[in-house]
Amino acid sequence: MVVFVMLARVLKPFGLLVPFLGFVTNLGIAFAQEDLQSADGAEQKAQNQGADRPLTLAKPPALLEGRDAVLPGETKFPQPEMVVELKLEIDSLGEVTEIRVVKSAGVVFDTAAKEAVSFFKFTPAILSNGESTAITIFYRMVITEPPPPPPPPVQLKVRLLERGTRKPLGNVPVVLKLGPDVLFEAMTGNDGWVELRGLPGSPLLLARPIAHESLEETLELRADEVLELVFYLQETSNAFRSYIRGRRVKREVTKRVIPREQILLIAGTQGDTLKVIENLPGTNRTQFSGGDLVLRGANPGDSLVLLEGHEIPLIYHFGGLRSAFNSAFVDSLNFVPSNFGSEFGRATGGVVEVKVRDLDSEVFRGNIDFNLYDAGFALEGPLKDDWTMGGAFHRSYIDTILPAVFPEDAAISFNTAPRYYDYQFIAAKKFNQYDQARFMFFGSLDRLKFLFKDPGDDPAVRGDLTARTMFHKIQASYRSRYTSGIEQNTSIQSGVTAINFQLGPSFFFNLNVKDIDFRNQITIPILEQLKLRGGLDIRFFHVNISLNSPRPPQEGTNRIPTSTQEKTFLTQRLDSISPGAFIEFAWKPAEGFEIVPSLRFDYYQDIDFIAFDPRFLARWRITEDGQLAFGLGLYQRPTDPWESDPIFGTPALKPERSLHLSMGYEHTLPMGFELETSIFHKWLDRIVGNGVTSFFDQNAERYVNSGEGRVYGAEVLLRFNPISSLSGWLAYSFSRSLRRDREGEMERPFDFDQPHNLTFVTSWKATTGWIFGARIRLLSGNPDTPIVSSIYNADADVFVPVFGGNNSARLDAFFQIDLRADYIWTFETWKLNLYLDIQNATNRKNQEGWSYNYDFRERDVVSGLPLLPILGLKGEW
Amino acid sequence: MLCGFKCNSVTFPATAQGWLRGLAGRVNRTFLLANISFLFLFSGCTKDFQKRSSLQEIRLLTLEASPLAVGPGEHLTVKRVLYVPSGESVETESWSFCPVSLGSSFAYQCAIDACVTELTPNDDQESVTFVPFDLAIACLQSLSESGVILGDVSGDSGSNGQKTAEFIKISIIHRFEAASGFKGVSVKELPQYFQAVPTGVNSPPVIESVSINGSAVTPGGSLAFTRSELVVEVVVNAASTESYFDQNTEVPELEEVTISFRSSRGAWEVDRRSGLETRNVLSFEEESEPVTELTIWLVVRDGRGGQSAFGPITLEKQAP
Repeated sequence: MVVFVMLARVLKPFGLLVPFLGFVTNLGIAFAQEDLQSADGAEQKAQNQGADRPLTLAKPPALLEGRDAVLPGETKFPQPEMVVELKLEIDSLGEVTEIRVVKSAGVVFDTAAKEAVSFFKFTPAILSNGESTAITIFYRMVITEPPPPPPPPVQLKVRLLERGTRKPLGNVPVVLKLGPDVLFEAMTGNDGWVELRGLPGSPLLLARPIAHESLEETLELRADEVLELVFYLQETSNAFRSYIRGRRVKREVTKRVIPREQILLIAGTQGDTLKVIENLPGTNRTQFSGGDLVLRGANPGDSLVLLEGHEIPLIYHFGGLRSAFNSAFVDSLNFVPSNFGSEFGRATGGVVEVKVRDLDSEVFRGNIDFNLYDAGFALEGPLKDDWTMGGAFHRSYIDTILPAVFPEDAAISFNTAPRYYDYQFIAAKKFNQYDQARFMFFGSLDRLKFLFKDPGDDPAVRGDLTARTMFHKIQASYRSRYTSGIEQNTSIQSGVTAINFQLGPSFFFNLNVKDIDFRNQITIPILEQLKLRGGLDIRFFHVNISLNSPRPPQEGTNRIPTSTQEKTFLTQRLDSISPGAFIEFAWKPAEGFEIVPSLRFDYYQDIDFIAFDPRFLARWRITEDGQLAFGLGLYQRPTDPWESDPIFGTPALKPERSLHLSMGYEHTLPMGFELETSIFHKWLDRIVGNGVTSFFDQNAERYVNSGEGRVYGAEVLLRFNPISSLSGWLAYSFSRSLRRDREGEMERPFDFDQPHNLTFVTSWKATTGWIFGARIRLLSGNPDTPIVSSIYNADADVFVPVFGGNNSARLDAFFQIDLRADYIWTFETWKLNLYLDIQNATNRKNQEGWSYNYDFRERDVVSGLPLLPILGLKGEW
Repeated sequence: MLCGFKCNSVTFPATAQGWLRGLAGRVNRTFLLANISFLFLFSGCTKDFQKRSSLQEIRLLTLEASPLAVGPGEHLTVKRVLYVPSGESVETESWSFCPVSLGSSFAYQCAIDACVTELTPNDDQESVTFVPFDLAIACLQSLSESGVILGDVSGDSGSNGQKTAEFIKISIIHRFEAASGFKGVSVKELPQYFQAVPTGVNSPPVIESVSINGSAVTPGGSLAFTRSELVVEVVVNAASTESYFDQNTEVPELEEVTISFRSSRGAWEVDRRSGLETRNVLSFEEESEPVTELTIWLVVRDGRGGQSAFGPITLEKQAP
């Protein structure tokens, strides 16, 4: 007796047929009384057909055609699988002739099963004699609950953007409600998009992003319709954006990272990112805030200004009016006033590095701004294949204003009045999250030309004065990170720099430099606690210099009439290479403690000198909030080409040298305060100065390494952000910078020695639209060399001052208050910012120097800029 | 307020320092002077000082040397031209000589104090005559003993690779003290050759003619005027100017003469004016007291040490 059980699985989602999944015979799975009966019947029939040999079932019926059970759409399944057992009568042709339910699963399921089985067709059952026969079988039909219906089509795509800036609002919960019922809930992605699925009707869309206005919008959703909605939500909390980013890993004792957003609203900077430098402790102020970079008492030429690791010739236009690299593309400033890392060399002062931000890869952005003296624009956006591109341009229009306001009877007239422009073009590609490349093409031009109608105080000063500083640079960089933690940055910068100064027909200075800078830096994690960093820093430059002018003055030399000085004529071409390499180990022997020894090597071809600069840094996180740092390092700086020129200068010079020592402590305080303190000391020697005997002996060395000096001081920086709408810092530095020009002379103050420097900067976002800022500065006056008498040079018809002790006097203290007010109109996709930047709001006459009469018997104070309101308008989209 | 370039000599601490210091990244200081000038336009004004052209006290106008370059054993005469206002007098006056000075950077300090020689004035009390070579040699010997070997602008090298001197620049210092206590120190420099002076080294420029309001005037002459301004026209003898070979640039150059205008009253349009034919205007509009009489001096210089004074010219105001 053989029992056959046939299984079939039927999927029936909401009345729809689904494919038949299986009908495999399954032997010996189920037995029932009816089975036995059916077997008996078949056997009896066989016996009737052949009495002497009993017939047996040779081949059971097999299903030829099946059909799924069809259930009404609203059928509810008590269990995921419902089983209906059926008894089927199959005739000798394989047709189902009778169906009976043996085990019910309910009327609905029974009916559906019977209906389905009625369409079944089988192969006939075959007896042992080869004849077909009718047969009765039991069939167990399993009806499986269909899976949930597929989601309805997307009906709503919503994007949340910040009003005015179009910055995506990510990670914002968005809810679709219909009455009290929540239909759908989801979070926006980083791009601000969220997809919602809902049924037709009028649901309410709700979103409450942090620090922005809430979204409550009733929608009209229709079937088979997909809505795409973009909402622009106003920033409402009066909060400044996060000013102080997460602490970056520092290698230096004192490294101040100033994000761009923090800078844009500082009073007195006109929104210029790079002009914030003068507000930081460790920066000395120069005359008229003239743009020279004096860091911790170092000579302007002793510090580096870098753009992504490469030097740039000019940081400011016209002595500080505007930075020569557009703020729109600046990400942050790294400010290291001394004890900088070994990746940088050829400098004995500090480092200011401009970091360029990643361009917007989502939308096209731009801005246009114009103010009292210049105008510019910036554009950026995504291109195909993960490329992004941006460009900016600034140009002054002082040249159109000055001739209008300058008196016609003035002693000078402007032919080509002061003019500057700068441009930047950036293209970047992110290959993946590990590799990216960037190309930058940027440049700047400052040009000044005016005519001295008649000889002035100095008969040599007449005719056209033309001054031009220009540079054009191209920089390519590639950054790659490997899964092993190795990181490599490679960059190359090349370009031309031209400096031309001409006064009348006889005085000129022309310097043209073509240079190639190559940098490669690799970081390798050797062990978990040990990291190696090393690289190359190679510079090649071709210099073409021609001059016919008095000897270029050194630091500490006083101004005397040009017509009384010996002129020197030089025309020279120089090719020089300066390869540098550095290696640094960062070792963390214990949690929170790190020591970083490093060594830098440089070769200066001009003077055939190999410099080894060992440096050391240690950092110790004393508490969760406090960190101590210590740095000691040697720094050397090559001489300038004319100083070591075989004809003009002294080839046997050695590089200037400085030993830096500093200690710093940083502490994060409650209420959004952060405290940074540092003390420092620098010893300087081999400072290049004039050889005294060279003034009358042409065989004497024109330049000598005779100078030495010391700089010491302390700095305190207190940043505050106690409430979200208020931010700023208070900075104080005490420093002394002293020099001795040659052995046996008295020590004198450095030209920009400023013992006290107090700066307070704050910005307050008062209400929506209004932002106020202030900057208050109180500084010691710069040193001054008094003039005690004069000598009349009858040949030149000028009086030559006779100086007292070098830098033995001091100008009056500098005090200035700058104020700024911004009002921002925020439209959906753009912003309009009207600002008023008032410099020297109290109209204080800060002394910048002395003005003397022709024979230096009378003098009067030369004061700095008076109250100067600068009105500007800036549109951003 | 915009004040332009009204101020005279302006000194800023360290203004000039480092203006060429740094290269390819440290070169922006080249621009500093120009920038300072630009910023100065917008800076606060200073008061108007007494003008250079205004003769109010004793003033040395020229130190006229003859010749303008001396050779070995040659006599040198240096004559001073002083303006002494009425009521003022020179109390003391002295001359000195320095063969090697440190130049204007060091206030013409003599390289070796022992080389400073006091000179005896001539009988006219206005000039000195001496042989600088003799004084210079004595000084050079002492320099030589101290290891200093003087250089040579001609570029010729000596046998030991060092340059031998063709000439040195000597200095003559003139000092005076007025009865009022006012003191003045002036310097004149000129080359002292160790060989014979090359021909055509230099000669002083000469003012050929001067006319005031169209009337020719002569040194020591006087002129009456009626208008509130004087138009002074000066013609320099073109033959007295010369071309020269610039030792620095090694190209021939032409002297460019400059006229310095001085007067005891009034204000000149400009203090100095360049050119062989120049014109300047002296006006009295801003004078606090009525002008009845004034003195004018004119000095022409060739920028290479040549100078000659023209004056005094006395002008008397008459009723129109």
